[in-house]
Amino acid sequence: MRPLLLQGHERPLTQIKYNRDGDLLMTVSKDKIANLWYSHNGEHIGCYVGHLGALWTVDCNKTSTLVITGAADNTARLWHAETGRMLHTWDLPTAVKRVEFSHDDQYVLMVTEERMGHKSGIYVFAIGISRPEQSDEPIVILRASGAKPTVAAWSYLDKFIVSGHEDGSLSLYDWRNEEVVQTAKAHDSIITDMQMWKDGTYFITSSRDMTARLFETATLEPMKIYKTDAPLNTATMTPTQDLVILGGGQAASEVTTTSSRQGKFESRFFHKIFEDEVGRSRGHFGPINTLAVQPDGKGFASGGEDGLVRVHHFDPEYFKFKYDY
Amino acid sequence: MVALSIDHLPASEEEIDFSDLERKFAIPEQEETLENVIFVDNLPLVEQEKEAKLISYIMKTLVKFGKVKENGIHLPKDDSTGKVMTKGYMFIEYETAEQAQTAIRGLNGWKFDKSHILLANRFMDVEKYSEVDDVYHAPPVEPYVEREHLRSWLADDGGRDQFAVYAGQDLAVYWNEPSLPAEMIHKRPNWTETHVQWSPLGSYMCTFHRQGLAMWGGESWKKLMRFVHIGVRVADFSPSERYLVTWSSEPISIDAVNQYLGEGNEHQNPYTSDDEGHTTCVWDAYTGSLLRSFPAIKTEDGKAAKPSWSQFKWSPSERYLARMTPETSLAIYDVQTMGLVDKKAMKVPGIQDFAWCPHTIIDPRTKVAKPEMIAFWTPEEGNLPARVSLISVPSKTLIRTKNLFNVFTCALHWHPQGQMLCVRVQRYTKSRKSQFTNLEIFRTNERDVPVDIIELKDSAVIFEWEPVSENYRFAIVHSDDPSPPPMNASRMATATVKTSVSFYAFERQGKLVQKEGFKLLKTLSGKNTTNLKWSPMGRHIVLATLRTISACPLEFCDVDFDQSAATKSGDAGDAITMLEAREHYGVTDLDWDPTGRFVVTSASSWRHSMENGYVLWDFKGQQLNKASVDRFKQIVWRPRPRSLLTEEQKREVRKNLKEYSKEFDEQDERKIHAADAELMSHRRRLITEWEAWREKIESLLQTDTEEALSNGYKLPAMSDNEDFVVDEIVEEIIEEKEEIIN
Repeated sequence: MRPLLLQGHERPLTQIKYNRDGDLLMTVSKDKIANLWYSHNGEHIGCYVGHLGALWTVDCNKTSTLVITGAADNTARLWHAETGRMLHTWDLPTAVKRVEFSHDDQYVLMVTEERMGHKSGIYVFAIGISRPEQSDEPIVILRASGAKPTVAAWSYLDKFIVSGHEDGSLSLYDWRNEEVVQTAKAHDSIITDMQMWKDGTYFITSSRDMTARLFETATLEPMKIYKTDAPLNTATMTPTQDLVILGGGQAASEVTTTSSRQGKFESRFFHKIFEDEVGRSRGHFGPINTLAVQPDGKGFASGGEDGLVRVHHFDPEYFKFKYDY
Repeated sequence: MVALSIDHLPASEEEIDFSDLERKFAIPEQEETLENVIFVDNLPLVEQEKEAKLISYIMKTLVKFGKVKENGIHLPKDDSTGKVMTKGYMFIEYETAEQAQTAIRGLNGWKFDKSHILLANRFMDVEKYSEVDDVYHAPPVEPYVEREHLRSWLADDGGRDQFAVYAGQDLAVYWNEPSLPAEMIHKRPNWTETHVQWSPLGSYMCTFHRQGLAMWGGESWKKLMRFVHIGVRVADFSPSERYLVTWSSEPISIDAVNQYLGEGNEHQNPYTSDDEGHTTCVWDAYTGSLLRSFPAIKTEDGKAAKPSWSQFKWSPSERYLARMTPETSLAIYDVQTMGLVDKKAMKVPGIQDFAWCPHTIIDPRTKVAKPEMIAFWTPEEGNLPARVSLISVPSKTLIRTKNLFNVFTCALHWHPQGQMLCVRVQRYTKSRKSQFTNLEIFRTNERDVPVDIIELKDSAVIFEWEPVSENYRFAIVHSDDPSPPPMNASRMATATVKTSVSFYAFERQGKLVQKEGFKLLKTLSGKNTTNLKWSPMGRHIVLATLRTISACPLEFCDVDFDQSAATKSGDAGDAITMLEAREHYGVTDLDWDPTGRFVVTSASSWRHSMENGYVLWDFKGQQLNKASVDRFKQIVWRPRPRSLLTEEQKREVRKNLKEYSKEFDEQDERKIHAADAELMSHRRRLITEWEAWREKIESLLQTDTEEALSNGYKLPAMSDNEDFVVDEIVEEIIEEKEEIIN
């Protein structure tokens, strides 16, 4: 099916996310605006306006009542999902690169940038759902001993926080006790994205080293590797078909000229278990910065450096696709 | 001696015993060296009266090499026969040993007159060799070490070919599998530093290193030989792989080589002081020994000429090695002695290029190999016309020359079987404003070497003979504009050039053909072809646009495709058919496998970094395999030696091709099935492993969840209406009609 083209941003997309029901799609971009869309027809619902810097990250709680955004204006903001009212602003020392609600919606983690003498860290705040007042005091701040963290995610049952670092390593934190349980060298270059399987038992990472990998959360044991020929910005997993989708491409500054095929700006589909490439989807004319799959597995969306969001709904053949084995 | 002590001090200096110190620091008495004396033999015997004349005559030559010492000439005489005669040899004393050395090189083998060829030696050698023990001591026999069979790869059951792929830092050798991914045989990181090259018959694979060149082969891919040549850039084998020429831009320095070899390994240094400063080496590929080294060619003003790798060329029999000094001379060396044929280079003022006839031609009647041939050309000079000459080697006699006028440049293209030579002459029009091409084809195998001329209206930029064909077919790429297209920094053309491709063939006099000669078969115009590649077996050709940013077509042609159309119309050109037009994005190189079954096109990261890798096609242009390889640099097919089958045996094979191919088809099928089965079982294993892991993890998660829940952990409830149907009533007006009701 022809993808829906959402033209709501003027600058490169940084993250897109579906809510748990899959009917809403949140997109954030460097143009300081967060947009909310209906995922099935691409209708624009509204924006969350208030940030003063480029937005890096977005997340929404399981009941789709709260939306949280992180931005380069050194703040993270909490919004009322339905009305777009700003509920709270957290002031952090540096830009917020990644936010994520815990599985039980009680906490939120924020990864901050390392800049201007401030060490980067993973801040965990408690979220009061029923009360409007939010605590400005983080419960814990996790500091990395080595390279700065770039991405982080909650493990199963919110027991741990996994972080991916600039040098390609992974850390598993027992966050309540502020302890590193496990570290592992995962990639040869910066980890650009990390997305958990729905139950939090394994996750996929993407890296500029042109690979995406699958890890078991509890042990950080590598399980699968997907090799491509382009630096990757994002990776996600489809819930139903045992596939992973990878996106990336040459950085805009490295792209030379003429043909868009040189940049490798395609979403690539790999078989999750066999590690074979099974297909590609073209369309973007810049690197793909972020990918998300609809939680029911019926579609996916990609956001690119070109400022466009493409929302795909899979064709019936996709669901009939069965790998020989 | 009494030890010195404060109580026994000698009274005077004389009493001190210095003998131990004197012994220690004694300067060894300088022996009178005879290094500067040479001994010349085989002089004519002359009477005493003529002695002075002989000396003054030979002196003229001697002073060329250095200064002869006063009274440095000694000519022994003999009067046993009654008359005082010279003994036919002389001693000459030079000022220095170096001068003596150059004199030996110059005098040894010098033709004094018709019957006297001089022999020169160091005087010290006479002494040295006279001291040799008269009893023969057999050198110890080295135990025989069996070498691996260098051609074992030819015995492959499937008749597969091999190729080497150099990508990133890794070099690997593969079996080519037409329907499956290539099978890796051997891979090593950092196997080579610059590139990889096969020897012409495929026995050796050469890797290039800072220290020199290494040769690999055999079944285990062991190092077979190494050639120490610092900074070696290129290598050229003789046609049957017996010899090897290597070139480096750095002059040879013995000290530098010693440094590389490390202390204690100086004996492995192949160079002597004679080689110092040279840039080109000729080696024996079997033994690894250095045969001779050559200095870089100097231009007239004494500077080293621009290094050109095409200076050395091997004769097809490997007996001769020729080297051209541009504009000056052509030197032909006899490989057995590594000396110049006739002791001197041929003076050819203005020489621009030369080429050996690539095939030794056996006279059908006498069954004796005909002498080898060299063709070369000289440009116009004043009133003299440009000229193409054909000489016979080693006699250096002229076989044929042809004068050419208004010549801009020439290129020499020998037919691989050595029976034709095409000279592609780029000429000016009378106005000198534009250029066009003449193809002057010398039938070198016929008496008096007749020349056919094909005059083109435009310029031929590429000329390729079909490697094997009965009627000497060739293809050319021609264009109105012979200048090369604009290039970017990595030498990729940034624009295409409009070209045409034409095919010609030789027609013999017969019932239909009145006059024998070359005839145009067909022209395909409106192309932007830059390269032509014939299949090594002939008949098939690929027209390609290589190293061009904006275009990448590959056209697979068969020149004998539609035989029925050709017979019907009586025009062989009608048989030429394009089988398939394909594209390979960013293609930089194209090569046929040695059997003419496959074509591999590649996009090398030496030129650009877009979609590096290679594609395998069959001769019809069907894509068989595609490999994207990160930082891919080079893919080279392993050449095969010439077939040992006779023509009759080949015909026999062709006749029974159906039976053979059935067998091979079955083999292929089996292989594919086996591979499929393997892949399936591999996948099944992966799936089982994955499912087992999920089961384990999920049960663990189950326990953990229960524990967590009992500790107050709460997961947000899922929304209750997971799937619900929305009834939507859509009204659509199909037709509207307005009626007035009375």
